[in-house]
Amino acid sequence: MSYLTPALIALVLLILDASLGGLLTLGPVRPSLTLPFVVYVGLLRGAVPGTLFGAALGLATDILGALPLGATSFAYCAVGFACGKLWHEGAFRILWPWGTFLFAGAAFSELVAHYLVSRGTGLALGPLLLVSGLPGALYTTVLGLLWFLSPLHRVRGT
Amino acid sequence: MRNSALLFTPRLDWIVFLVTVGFSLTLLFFGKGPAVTSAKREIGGIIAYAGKPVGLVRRSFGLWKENNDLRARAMTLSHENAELRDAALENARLRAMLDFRNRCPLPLKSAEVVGFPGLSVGGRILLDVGRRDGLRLNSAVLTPDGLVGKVVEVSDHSSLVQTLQGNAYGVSVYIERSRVAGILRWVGAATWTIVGLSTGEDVRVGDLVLTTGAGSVFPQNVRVGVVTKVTGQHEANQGWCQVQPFVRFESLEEVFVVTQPDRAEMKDSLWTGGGRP
Repeated sequence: MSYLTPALIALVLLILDASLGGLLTLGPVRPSLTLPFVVYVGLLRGAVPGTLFGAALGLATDILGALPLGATSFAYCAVGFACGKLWHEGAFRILWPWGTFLFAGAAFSELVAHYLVSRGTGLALGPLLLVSGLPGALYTTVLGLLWFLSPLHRVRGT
Repeated sequence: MRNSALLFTPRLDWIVFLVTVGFSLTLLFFGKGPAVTSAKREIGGIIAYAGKPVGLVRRSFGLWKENNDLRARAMTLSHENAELRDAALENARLRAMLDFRNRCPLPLKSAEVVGFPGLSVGGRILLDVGRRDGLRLNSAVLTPDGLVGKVVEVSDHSSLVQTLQGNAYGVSVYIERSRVAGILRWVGAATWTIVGLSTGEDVRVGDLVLTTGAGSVFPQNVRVGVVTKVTGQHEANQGWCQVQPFVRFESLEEVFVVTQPDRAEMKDSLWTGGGRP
């Protein structure tokens, strides 16, 4: 199993997220370009690649972002592992599991990030989640669904 | 061996998961030292360097957006500037008219030019005032610059003015400097002359032309124009000097109409600075 192509895609997504992500920001909501890829790898290749790619991409996101080192890494590897354990490649060809897993992963990732932000700032977690957490998860999901429906999405064997 | 491999394989994912989660949590709780901060900065620098080409795209997008914003702003400012300039010109024009009105002893009615129904051909303009505003046939029409013409058709709320351009009537005028009198006539495109001048009369280029007040249509001493050319022709009936009116008929916006021409009041009017010929 070659990890080179996914690694390159992950790197490109990381660079795009760091450099162009700001253009996609709507008010306090910013989507993640890397999380859908973690879900993708988890669903397509299983729990181990999902966990490893999640940890690596999360760590890189932490290095470039404002969250404490390890926060996104923890969230992403958990998402990658869960996707790999609960589903497999065949089901990835269907839209709804992709959307469901993506939203669940994005919501979990936002929950971890906003929990840390609320702990650091003393703000209440609930309003923070409502204002930017859940909308951010929805935004990420919508972008992921658009990618799924676009010609850029090609599943092996189809 | 085989059994141990089978036992180990299903657990591999859990092992990997637990190791990565442990690693992440360790970083989360203990990764706050200067070494971690330094490493974060260095790696961030490398990623930022790798992302430089993408940054060009972002900057291009930013430039495009900024360009659009600036274009929209330039349009707005240009429009605003034109409005302000127009307001300033209107202000100056209205001040001049107000000053003229204060100085002029005649009963004047201000009017707005609402149409040029035949200015290029017949030299007529349409005013937004009519009989109900005190206008009558042959009421004189003026501006602070000088004589415009007279009312030739009047309804209740509007009136038609025949300007000096293309006029079918003569205006009794005199040369201010030499007091020589004659009849001002339009003789062609943007050309006016004074007919009825005797040969050898003292008329020079630059002489001011005023109305005499004869005929009881136009008030006396209204500025009309200036002599621009004195030809060698000495045929009195055809005119031998050219006059350029002060009023630019094609750009009239506001005018005054003499509502009740009173000969007695007209006679001693001082608002042209001229005297009796």
